Amino acid sequence: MALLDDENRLTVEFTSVSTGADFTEYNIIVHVGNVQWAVKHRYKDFQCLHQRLTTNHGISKHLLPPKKIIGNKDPTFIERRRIDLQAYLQGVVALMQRAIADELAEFLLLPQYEMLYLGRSLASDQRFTSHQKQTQLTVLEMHAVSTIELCASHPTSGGMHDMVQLAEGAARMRSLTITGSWHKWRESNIIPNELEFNFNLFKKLHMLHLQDCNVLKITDASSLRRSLVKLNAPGCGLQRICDLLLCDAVHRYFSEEDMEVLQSLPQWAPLKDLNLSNNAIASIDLSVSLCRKLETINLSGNKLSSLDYLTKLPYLISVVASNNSIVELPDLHTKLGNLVHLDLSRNKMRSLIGLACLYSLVSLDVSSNLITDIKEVEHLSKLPCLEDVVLTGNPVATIVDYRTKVLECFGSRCSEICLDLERPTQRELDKVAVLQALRSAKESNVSKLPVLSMTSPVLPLQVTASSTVLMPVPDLATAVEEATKLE
Amino acid sequence: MSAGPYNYSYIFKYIIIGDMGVGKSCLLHQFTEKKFMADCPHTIGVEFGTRIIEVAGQKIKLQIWDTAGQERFRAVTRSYYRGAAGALMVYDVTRRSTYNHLSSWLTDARNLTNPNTVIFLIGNKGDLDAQRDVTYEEAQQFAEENGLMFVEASAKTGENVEEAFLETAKKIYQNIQDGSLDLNAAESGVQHKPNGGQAGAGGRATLNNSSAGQTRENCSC
Ligand SMILES: Nc1nc2c(ncn2[C@@H]2O[C@H](COP(=O)(O)OP(=O)(O)O)[C@@H](O)[C@H]2O)c(=O)[nH]1
Ligand SMILES: [Mg+2]
Repeated sequence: MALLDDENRLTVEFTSVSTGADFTEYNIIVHVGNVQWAVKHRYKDFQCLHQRLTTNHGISKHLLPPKKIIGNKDPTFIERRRIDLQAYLQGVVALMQRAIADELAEFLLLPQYEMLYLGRSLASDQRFTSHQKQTQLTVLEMHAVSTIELCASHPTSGGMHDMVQLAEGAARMRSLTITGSWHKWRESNIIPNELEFNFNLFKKLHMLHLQDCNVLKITDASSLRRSLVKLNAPGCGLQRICDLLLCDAVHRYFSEEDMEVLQSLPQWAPLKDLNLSNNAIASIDLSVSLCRKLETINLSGNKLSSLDYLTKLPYLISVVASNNSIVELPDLHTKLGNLVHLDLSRNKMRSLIGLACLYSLVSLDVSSNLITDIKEVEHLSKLPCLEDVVLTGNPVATIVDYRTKVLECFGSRCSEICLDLERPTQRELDKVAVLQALRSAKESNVSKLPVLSMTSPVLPLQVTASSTVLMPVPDLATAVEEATKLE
Repeated sequence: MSAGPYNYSYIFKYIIIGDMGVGKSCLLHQFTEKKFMADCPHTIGVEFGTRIIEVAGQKIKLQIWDTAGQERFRAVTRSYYRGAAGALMVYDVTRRSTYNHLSSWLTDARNLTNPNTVIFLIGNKGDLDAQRDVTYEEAQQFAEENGLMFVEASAKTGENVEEAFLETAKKIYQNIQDGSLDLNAAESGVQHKPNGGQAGAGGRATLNNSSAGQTRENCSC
């Protein structure tokens, strides 16, 4: 990291000169430890700096090589000037190594690249000085804040004042977005996602959104565990959930045998909402049990083929696992209890049999899977609380009279089912009623014969009477006709 | 008749808990079907049953989660405590161990339900008096100490089964009436259906045809 101290001194070096029609620009590389960045300046910038350094800091007037009006485009002159200006700047830097003047710091762009300077400018930044509903910081800024926080613990450093301001600002924040990057930061060799950061000063965050961050660089998340209600880490390249939830632990992965150790670790106590969408998670690991209060988990756009360990979450209401590689979920009710919303859209499910006992389910999205047979929908017919079903994008949705056939599976509850975001129309309900009537009539006629395939074995007989009465008479003939065609 | 109206004005959620084999599924079956199912298959994870009852002239739909008592399903069944208005905690009067485990079931119930959840203790298999291993008196005392309602019942003969489910509902209804149960609170385990309970309204009104407003729906034991 770029941090000026006794070991990491500031040095400058003039690498080249760019010339245009009416200017000459000197390319300077600034080094602090192994961090470096490029700065470009023209002669007049040096003049300006020099003037301020002489008036404000008593630097000798004669140090700067003199201005030359004529012949200043001559290559040998430019090369000599490059060497002279380099000597000048190196001299000034050496003079001020212990106490760098702000004018020089700005000239060398320290506030953009050096952590103590960046931290100091953040301390007076309105994101830290005023109350904001939602704050945005880059990983680099987080790194700077963390650096200040770490340095303030050394009595020698003068960062105490900045640290207090940053701490006050950070403690005011409730909702924070941190943006990371794997690209070099501006003109430097700094890769933000290789920088460590912690949340020690952010004591009261409720919501944290990590955008493109490298969570493995979080060195301390303990304050987050105490306060976060919502944690989003979409598109962070996560391969395992534990890499986020145990980001600051040495040992992250726990198997069933180490369950006791895992249980002794600090919990994400208030966390209710976890979004891990668009990562590379192949399976859910035991670390989710650290979020016992979790109500909503979004795992869409990962590489899941099953849903494990979610039984560890007794408050879970909603699971989004769309766009994964799920083919089947046998006996899901033994792995998930009391779930209200389930999104399994854009997977590779052929059967819904595993969902047949998820009795608490109210909404189910299985759109864009590979469900072909209407018989699969019958597995949902006994779910007593189900209200919303989305089946679009499955082969089954293209069969003739798809909606009526699906609705019919739900027997007397069909009017309560919202299919593909649309409530059944009266016409559809009438048609279903006739179908059901025909079926049950058939059922009683042929009851002595060997089994015929009955679409809805749980069909309550009472429905027949009422639905027939409800049906508008003129429609009866057509409805019967259509229904008979269906058979 | 898109989203109702319903033929009941409230939904109460119940959970049945207790060791494996104490007769939870049989109690549910007896309550919903009025039949004893001697060879009830083991419950895998959770099962479900409903029945509409009447309390103080109000039709109430009971949604009952029947959980598996086995340890390996403990985690998944724990989630059903959430949002339960009533918890029926069952032991087997002929097996002392099932009674001894009550404190652990009670701990779960207290930790995972809301403070207003009505917990009802049922000593099942009351018909097997000769094999009795737990006395009525000690269970009564346990119930009192822990503030639980209590009966001994038999899923086989049906004795007190109806009472246990109905008394729980009455207590919940009473809690609603006196305001101690907040219907708007998430996870109260009670849903109010404002248009419900009106006979003859809508397509589902036929369900009222059955006697005394007690209708059985699918019970899957
Ligand atoms: N005699 C008698 N047997 C019962 C009674 N209730 C349940 N059983 C029997 O106890 C066994 C376990 O019942 P079950 O309902 O499956 O228990 P669960 O595991 O708690 O659901 C079954 O063999 C039932 O026939 C009862 O009230 N009396
Ligand atoms: Mg059972």
